[in-house]
Amino acid sequence: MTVRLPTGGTVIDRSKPITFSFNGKKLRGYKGDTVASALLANNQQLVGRSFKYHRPRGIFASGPEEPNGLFTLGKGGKLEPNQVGSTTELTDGLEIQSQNHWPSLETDFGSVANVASRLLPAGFYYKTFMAPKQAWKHLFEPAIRQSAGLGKPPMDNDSDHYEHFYTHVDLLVVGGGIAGLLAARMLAPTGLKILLLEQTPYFGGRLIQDHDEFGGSSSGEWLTTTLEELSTHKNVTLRNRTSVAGVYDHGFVIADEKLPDPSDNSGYLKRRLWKIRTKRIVLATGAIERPLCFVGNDIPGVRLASGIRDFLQNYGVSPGDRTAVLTNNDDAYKTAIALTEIGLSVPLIMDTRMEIRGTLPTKARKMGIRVEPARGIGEVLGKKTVTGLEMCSQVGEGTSLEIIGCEAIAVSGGWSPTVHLWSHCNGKLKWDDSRTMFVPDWQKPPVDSQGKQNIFPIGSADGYLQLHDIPVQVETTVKFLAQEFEKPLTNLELPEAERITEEKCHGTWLVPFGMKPANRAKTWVDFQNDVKVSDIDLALLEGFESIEHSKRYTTLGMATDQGKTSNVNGIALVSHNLGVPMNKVGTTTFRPPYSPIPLGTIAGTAKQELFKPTRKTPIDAWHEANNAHWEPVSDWRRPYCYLLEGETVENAVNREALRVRTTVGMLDATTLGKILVKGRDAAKFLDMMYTNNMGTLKPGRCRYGLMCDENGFLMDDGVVARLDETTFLCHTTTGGADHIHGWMEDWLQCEWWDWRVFTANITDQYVQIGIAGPQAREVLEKLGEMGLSEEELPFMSWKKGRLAGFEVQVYRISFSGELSYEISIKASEGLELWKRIYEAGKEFSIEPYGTEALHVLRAEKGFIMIGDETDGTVIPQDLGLDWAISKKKDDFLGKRGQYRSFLTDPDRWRLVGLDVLDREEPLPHGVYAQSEDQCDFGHPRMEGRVTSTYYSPMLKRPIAMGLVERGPERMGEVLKFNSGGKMIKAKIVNHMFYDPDKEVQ
Amino acid sequence: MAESPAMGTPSLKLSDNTGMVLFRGELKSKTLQEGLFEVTKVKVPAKGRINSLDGLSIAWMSPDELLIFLPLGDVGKLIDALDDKLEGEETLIWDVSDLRSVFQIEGHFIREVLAKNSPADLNRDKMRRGTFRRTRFGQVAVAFWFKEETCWFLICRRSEAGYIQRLFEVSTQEGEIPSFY
Amino acid sequence: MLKLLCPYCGVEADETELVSGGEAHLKREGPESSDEEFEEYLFLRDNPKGIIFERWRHAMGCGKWFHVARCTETMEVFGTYPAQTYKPPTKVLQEIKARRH
Repeated sequence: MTVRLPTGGTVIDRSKPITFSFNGKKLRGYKGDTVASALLANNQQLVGRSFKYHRPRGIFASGPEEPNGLFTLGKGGKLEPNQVGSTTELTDGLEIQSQNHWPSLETDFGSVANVASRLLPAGFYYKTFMAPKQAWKHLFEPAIRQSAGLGKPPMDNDSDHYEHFYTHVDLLVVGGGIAGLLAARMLAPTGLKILLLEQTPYFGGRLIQDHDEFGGSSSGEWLTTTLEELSTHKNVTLRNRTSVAGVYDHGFVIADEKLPDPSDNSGYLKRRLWKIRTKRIVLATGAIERPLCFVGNDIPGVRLASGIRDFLQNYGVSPGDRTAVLTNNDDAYKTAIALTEIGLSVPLIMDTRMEIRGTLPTKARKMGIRVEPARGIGEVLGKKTVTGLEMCSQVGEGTSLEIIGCEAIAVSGGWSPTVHLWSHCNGKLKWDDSRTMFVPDWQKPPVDSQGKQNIFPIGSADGYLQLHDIPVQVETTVKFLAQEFEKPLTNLELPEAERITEEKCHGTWLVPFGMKPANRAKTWVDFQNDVKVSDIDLALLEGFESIEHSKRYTTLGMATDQGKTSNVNGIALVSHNLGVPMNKVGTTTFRPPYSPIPLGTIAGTAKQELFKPTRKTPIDAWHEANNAHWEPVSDWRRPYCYLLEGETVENAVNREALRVRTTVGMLDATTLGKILVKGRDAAKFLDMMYTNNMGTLKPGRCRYGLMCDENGFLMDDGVVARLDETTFLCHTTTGGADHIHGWMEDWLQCEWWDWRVFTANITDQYVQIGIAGPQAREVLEKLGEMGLSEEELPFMSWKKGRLAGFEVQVYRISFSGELSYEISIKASEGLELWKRIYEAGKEFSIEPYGTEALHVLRAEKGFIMIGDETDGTVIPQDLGLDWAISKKKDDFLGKRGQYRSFLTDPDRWRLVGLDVLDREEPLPHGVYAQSEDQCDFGHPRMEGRVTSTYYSPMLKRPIAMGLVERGPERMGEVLKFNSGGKMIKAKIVNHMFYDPDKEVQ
Repeated sequence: MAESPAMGTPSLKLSDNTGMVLFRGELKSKTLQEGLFEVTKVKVPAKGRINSLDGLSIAWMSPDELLIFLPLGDVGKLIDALDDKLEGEETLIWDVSDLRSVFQIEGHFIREVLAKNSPADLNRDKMRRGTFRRTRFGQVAVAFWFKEETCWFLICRRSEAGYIQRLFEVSTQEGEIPSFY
Repeated sequence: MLKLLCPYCGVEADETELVSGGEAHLKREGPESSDEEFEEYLFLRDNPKGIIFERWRHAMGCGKWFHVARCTETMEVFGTYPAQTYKPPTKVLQEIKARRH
């Protein structure tokens, strides 16, 4: 049984009990507990089922390396799946659920896969799902989805809040353990801006639990003094509960901060994503203990030796009455000693090494602990929890020498420096045989933008596991950094530490060395992804010898823990199996994040109405008050139509379009882009930008223009007004304003920088109001102090004047085919003028119209819309706009592109109108016309598609435009459009459906 | 490192009486610099800076662009004076008073609130009095500068003012400003 | 996540304040160009593992385009310079030479 001991636990507060539940069962813990420690304290050893075989699994470790203990926490809007129990603080009332089992944790139907495990070897997915084709969809996928996987995603919106925070510092220290604190303390007086981040709620790492003294006083005293001293430096910021997730180029680092329990934090913010720019990074991330591979090493009760020690010392949790230890190094003896000192039993330490002479083993022996050299575990006994073990010879094949009864097994296969962050940005690793670990290769470090090393590992992150080695090693790094920053260091005092002798960690991976083949399938390497020794054997047998290949074939290290406990063992097994040295096998690539970050944290505040900016015109509130049905148009929101009481959207659109055709309508056209182009060379410049001739435009006149990219494809269109000899106002599409402005600036800055032209995107400066319909002029004349007659303001001209007392520019242009004016006014006055026009128009039954009526009106006239008739592959000539392409100009953007053979091909799809036959409804959007003949692949050949399709309330029938192969030459032909298998017939007609002779505008 | 000290979070309000004039031209030109100074009594700022005197400020937008802030009622007069003074020079001078919204931010921890939404370096040695920093706030382009540590200004496009207001509001929710700068 | 010095406004801009514009120092080919020249201009791009000259726009800043000499492998930056030039400035070339001799 794992139980809470009567005393002990350095981080729990026994005066603050907490209640929580696990799978509905009410349990008790203490403030300071993690989910994992609280569950163990309640003897909840079985906490989940494994990914593939649904094996029973228990808490294995005490930090972010934990492979098994993943839980679903909370419920409703606070439900979070896949949370790591050993890094999650317990909170009052927390509801914890185990994952990946059915119907229950105790009786899991999926564990039948355990029996059938021979059917699920490495590469099973790759081999099995090749054929037959249908089997994946109908057989395999549903079965796998049912049985595999982690927690279920939440169904409710996340009710918690998250934010980002940018910082710029000189130095980031990752890790608040001994080395990190020491480095910060030494550098603090330099005045450098230092940020130190620690992933746990506590500083000091293993200092207090593993060492009595440090720096000439008790280790606790040293820690307190250090933290106090650091707090006096304004240039130093310490942050706990903040885990660095990734290091990116140019010193960019992200870190995930878990804010303390909302109950004592005003309940608002849950997590904060730090986005840090730092000049240098000191990596004091420590090291992670490795397990060993032996039969039954995944049974609950088998735990990392460091984990058992942490639970014992930090949380006062006993692993059970009897704990056997299996190790290949001296460090695990600390666990045996700690257990014995507290009064628990350690029946046996099995050390795979022949000779054991270090300080710690000697101490253990003196305490009377039985130490067996050259021994290993033949098999773990027990099903849902450990009941004992069979001891064997390490160099043998696993024959049982003795059965030992125990409730827990502490395992240590040595330590791996936590080098993930070193590697994120290209830092290389090398295998150090003398220390039996991969260490940072200082010859191949990650670099900053100047090509200089920017990450400096210290302490155990650099492979220095002994306390007495750390001060000197930290000092070297600190001195180097101070010199780089050109800051003097004053009297560095190196804390003293007890020197102990330690025997080399032996490169033991498999226990026993000669493990029988049948046993290799009962020995786990990666607990979370259920990868066994036999899977690695098979991958190599099938030729997946590169570590990157065997990793993917077996999925070793690809689970949410990213192989923190399994990677090095996997590499060693490959090395061992192939007879290739560790350095040659190499490591797989570490990628961010170090620990998973919730999606909510990544989103930060960019959710719901802040997911993306919504641009609003000054008339927005009026639209809202008048029941606008909104449509997003690029970043803007625009009224699609205005709904009258009880009206359908369709009816509203028809009503609005008819209103424009019969009397008068008004449109908020503010979103159209307005770019001012001014200068001596403005006309010359616009002649390059537009396909047609803008230089010949007279001041006071307007011209519709097309812009192409260098491919010749149509990019944007709009009306250009010449304000004076050197000034033009270019209107763009709503979505095109920023892009076209950037496009103009690109050419002016990078190609024709000697041309004298200035541009300005002044879109938001003006409100633009469209007034269209036979009675448009009458409405405006009611307000006017300016003449708007045919003679005073002819079609395609503009002038300044006053309307209703406001200064305005009036453009006589039309996108509806009706008599139409666009009035431009300062944005701050726009709403007032809009209201005045609306009032003045009442006697003509004026109505506002939305974007959809605008589309219907333009389609009735056969006008194209960028994004409907164009898709980045269409040239103006395809749309019958040859008239807007100057033949006289030597050059314009896109001219050369349009010469290319496929763009001059007579078979190109060109714009036509489409009259749907035998049906009342419009053609569906985007449907393709199918010809009688077949293409090269044996499918029917496509010969056209619908680009715009509407119901025309004016013509009282559906209308459509489309691009059709040689379209204009095929007037009267009937095409067949395939709408989900249903064929719809439509006749090719002229695309100017309404007023083709332009008599009304 | 206490969260949200009792001094309170900053507030944001629209300042609607600010006139703005866009000025584009070759800023290195002596004639332009002198002409601008004569009309505005404010020196053309160095790059990345804003100069102010008696209610008129000139901000450096780019090597050939300035933004002049002044009382709304004086805009017409200033444009006429500049047109007059710089006649024959190649410039683009335009009333852009309605193009952008000007916000005034008052209170404590303004740097921190800005840092939640902008990648700009807000350390005191980088973001100084007189620095005019064009950057982004959330997902939109802005510029900010300050008069006092407790009084900052921020401009954004008029159509994006609602987004800025809402994002600012969310970023100043009580109890979550890390004291950092 | 790059950080590049805008040579116009002197701001160390974050990558999220910038917009990338592909290879720098391309020569525009107009209506007189051959198919081969036009293809080269419009489509053919180097994709080196090593040093590249590329265009960036300080979009969330001064709005100006500038050029960057960068190593695609290590992300080292050898210099940024204004776009009004046909070839990289000597200073930048020297810096590349100094670091990649």
